[in-house]
Amino acid sequence: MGALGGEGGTFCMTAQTPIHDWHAGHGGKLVDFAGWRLPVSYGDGVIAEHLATRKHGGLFDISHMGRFSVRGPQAQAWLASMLTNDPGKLSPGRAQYTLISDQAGRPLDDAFLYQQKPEQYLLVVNASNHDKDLRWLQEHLGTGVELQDHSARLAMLAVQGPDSEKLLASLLAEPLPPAGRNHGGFNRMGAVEMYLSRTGYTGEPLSFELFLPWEEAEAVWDKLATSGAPLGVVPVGLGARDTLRLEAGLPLYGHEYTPERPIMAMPTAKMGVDLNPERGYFQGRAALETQAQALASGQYGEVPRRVFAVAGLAKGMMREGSEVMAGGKPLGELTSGTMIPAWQFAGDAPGQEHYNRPLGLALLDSGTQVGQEVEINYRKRALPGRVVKSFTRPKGRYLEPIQFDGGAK
Amino acid sequence: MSEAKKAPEGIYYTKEHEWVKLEGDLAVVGLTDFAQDQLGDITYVELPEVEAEVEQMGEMCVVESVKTAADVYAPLGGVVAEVNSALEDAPELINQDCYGAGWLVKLSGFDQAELDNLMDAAAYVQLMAQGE
Repeated sequence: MGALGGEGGTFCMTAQTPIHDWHAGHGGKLVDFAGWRLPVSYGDGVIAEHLATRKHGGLFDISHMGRFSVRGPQAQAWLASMLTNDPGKLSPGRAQYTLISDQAGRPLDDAFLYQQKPEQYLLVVNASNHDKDLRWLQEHLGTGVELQDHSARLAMLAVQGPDSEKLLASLLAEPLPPAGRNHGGFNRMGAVEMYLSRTGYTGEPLSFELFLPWEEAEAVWDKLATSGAPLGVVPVGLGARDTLRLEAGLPLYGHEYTPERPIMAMPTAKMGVDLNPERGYFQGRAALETQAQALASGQYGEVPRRVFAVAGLAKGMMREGSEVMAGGKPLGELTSGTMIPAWQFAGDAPGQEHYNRPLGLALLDSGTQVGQEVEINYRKRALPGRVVKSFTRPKGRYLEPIQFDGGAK
Repeated sequence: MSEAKKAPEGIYYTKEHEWVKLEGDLAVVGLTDFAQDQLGDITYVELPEVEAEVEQMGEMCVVESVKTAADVYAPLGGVVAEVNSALEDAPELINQDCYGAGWLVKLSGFDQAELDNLMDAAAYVQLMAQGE
């Protein structure tokens, strides 16, 4: 047996999250990821964790991610100059998807910005980009802004899935933030103060992220795991975190976003880039406008290829780097892809049966249309596939897999 | 987990974590327990065509797991006589029973002399212990 595609880099120094010992003591298969020691899965494996999250809920230790505190009277104005989305649209208790762009409209990172108080924000970035982002932000720091790295002070947990709301409501002292994506607020579990936000990386209609003191995180995690178990809410490792985000069509830095690729090549950038003329200057604005115009004009000059969702219509190999063909001509290549488990729905909810299907994200010629039939080459074989709008749709509190004609059952 | 489950006696092993068992004129091939554990949940197996010719330690098929994709090498040169088509719908059989129901391929027309290039269970377990 020989590995064809690895697990990312290896590092000499690996850091531990506050939940590390819990993971190790509960069957977590620990691996090195972006400089951190984290579970790829627990005893029941990636598929079981993916399916449990979609049917009941999943707990994620995401304390490895970078968390920067931004405060001060000029915090909003400075963030508005550094980020592609407009923090002026936020208010305390709201969050937004955003990107950190360089002058050329290439992503340093994609990120989430949470406004906690009038002059207090948290910017959450990818673990792999933490040092680069922090350097960039410090180099461009203005007056009236205090930027602090809280990555090792604040832990971050995610509770995602149909029963996440029920679980948190049973444990928290204050009411949950109002329903609706990206809403948040301060809360308490026992004596532990925390900030809670309706955000996440799984596509689940009900999803939460918790920010809390590092030293309290293990006890809170254990409480969530213990109280979640009777509901079917389970701890989830990095493996299912990746299959869940892929099934939800969400980008991963290093795969869909890369330092060389225009930001607007990723469709989710539309949610994280605000080019409103009243906003004024921000890092990368001119380049992003050129990219947006290229896409709008249909000439695609600056953005010759962009990312699409590709569903396999039979069982077969769907791997990053594979060539995607249409009518015998190269259309692009896969940026992410694997077999993804899905529940067979019984009425409005997941039933008892599940199946696997190959799903991927692909960088394809920008003029590609949804519905285009394609072939995905892997070695000597070609898997039939189709460019689709998305792989899932919200159904009540569940995320339902969309089945495609001719698709694998 | 017992040593017997990790590497049963009476069959041959490659250093790439395939096993092969002689059954009359056929050689049954599969992945070892170490291999299936490293791969994690196996989600797809791309089996070779029946009658395909393979060389010893040449590429034979591909297994995909939620973590990675991996080539499986032929422990012996020969011709693919049979493939385990049950894996098409249930690739998890490799995780559940890698030395039994999770077999991959049966080869015919192999050269017994090539067995000399393989390891017995004791040698394979020793290799594992050395951290290969």
